Amino acid sequence: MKHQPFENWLLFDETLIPDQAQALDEHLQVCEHCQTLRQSWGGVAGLFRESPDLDPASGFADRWQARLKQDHQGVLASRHRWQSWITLILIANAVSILGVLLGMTVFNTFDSLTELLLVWVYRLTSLLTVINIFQNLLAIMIRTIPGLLPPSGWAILAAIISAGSLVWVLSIARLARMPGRA
Amino acid sequence: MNDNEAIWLARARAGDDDAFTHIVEAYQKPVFSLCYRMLGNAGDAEDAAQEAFLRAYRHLNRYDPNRSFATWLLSIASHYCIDRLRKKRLPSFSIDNEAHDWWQPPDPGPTPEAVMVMDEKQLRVRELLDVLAPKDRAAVVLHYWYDYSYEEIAESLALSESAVKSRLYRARRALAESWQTQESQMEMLEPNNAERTPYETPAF
Ligand SMILES: [Zn+2]
Repeated sequence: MKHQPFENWLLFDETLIPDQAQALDEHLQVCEHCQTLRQSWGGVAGLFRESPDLDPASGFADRWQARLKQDHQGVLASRHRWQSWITLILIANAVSILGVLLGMTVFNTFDSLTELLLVWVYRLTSLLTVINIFQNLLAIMIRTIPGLLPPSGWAILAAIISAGSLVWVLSIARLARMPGRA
Repeated sequence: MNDNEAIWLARARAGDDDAFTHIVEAYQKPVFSLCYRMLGNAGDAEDAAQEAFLRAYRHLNRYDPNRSFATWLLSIASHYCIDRLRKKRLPSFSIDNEAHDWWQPPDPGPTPEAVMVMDEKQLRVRELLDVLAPKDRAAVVLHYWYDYSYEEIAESLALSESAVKSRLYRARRALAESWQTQESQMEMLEPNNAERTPYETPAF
């Protein structure tokens, strides 16, 4: 037996036009399947209508307020957690940046160390060159000065210097022996 | 929406917790009932209703005062229950399951001290709704307990109107079949229950 469109008419809760209603009535008189469907759905719908709204346990609003407070605290705690994480990330970033900067500085220092070493090598070379020049000058002087005076002249000069030194030493000794001086 | 409600909502929008508590008091019953129909036990229903109010309060700036607050609130509660059912994958009763003991009292849940006196009708409702998929269940609850039109259900559950119609059609068929199963099991268990009034109503 064909149950359509009767099943649809039974289960779509739309108003039937009189012809449809009559056709459905006629079908229901002969079709047990559709009769059972109609009774079952009627039973469900009736049960739904008789089943009232339910009250929550008393104090629902108070419990809601408590939950709201808890929620606020949860939001605050989560905000604090976020703040802590952000701080931690910022610190980690700062440390990383410092590390990179330090690394670059060390690298640059190595770079300038070689430069410094080169400068010092240059300076040392210059100094050694200067010393060498002075040595040469001294050698020239040693070789030329004796020829400036005759041997007698050198003897007179040596005597004058010796006498002067003797006078200087004696005057120091006399001063040291003067009374009133400890 | 009455004037008081508009005032409470305006104050709640400005961050007044106490003002929203008035809203909670006014809507606790429909929201709790919806959650109870959806989740099937008082403990889960209490938790879901509390959460629905919390979400509504948190997102109050998204509510359009030109529309019904009740519809908006119940939509939040419906979506929350649907998500919860999907996540928890609560065991559904198969209508083919011979051993399904739908007359067992439900788990009242650990909190709060909800003492839910479950009569036979509530148990039958619960077991009937349990055969439906979460979104179909929400459509049925909104349609039969809250008198929502197809349009309102479509808006609340983010569905098209034709999708609502076909979901309700499918749900009615499943409910009718589940009812038949319950009836035959009751007949087997209680042969002399002739005094029980059958729910015979014309189709609607
Ligand atoms: Zn038929």
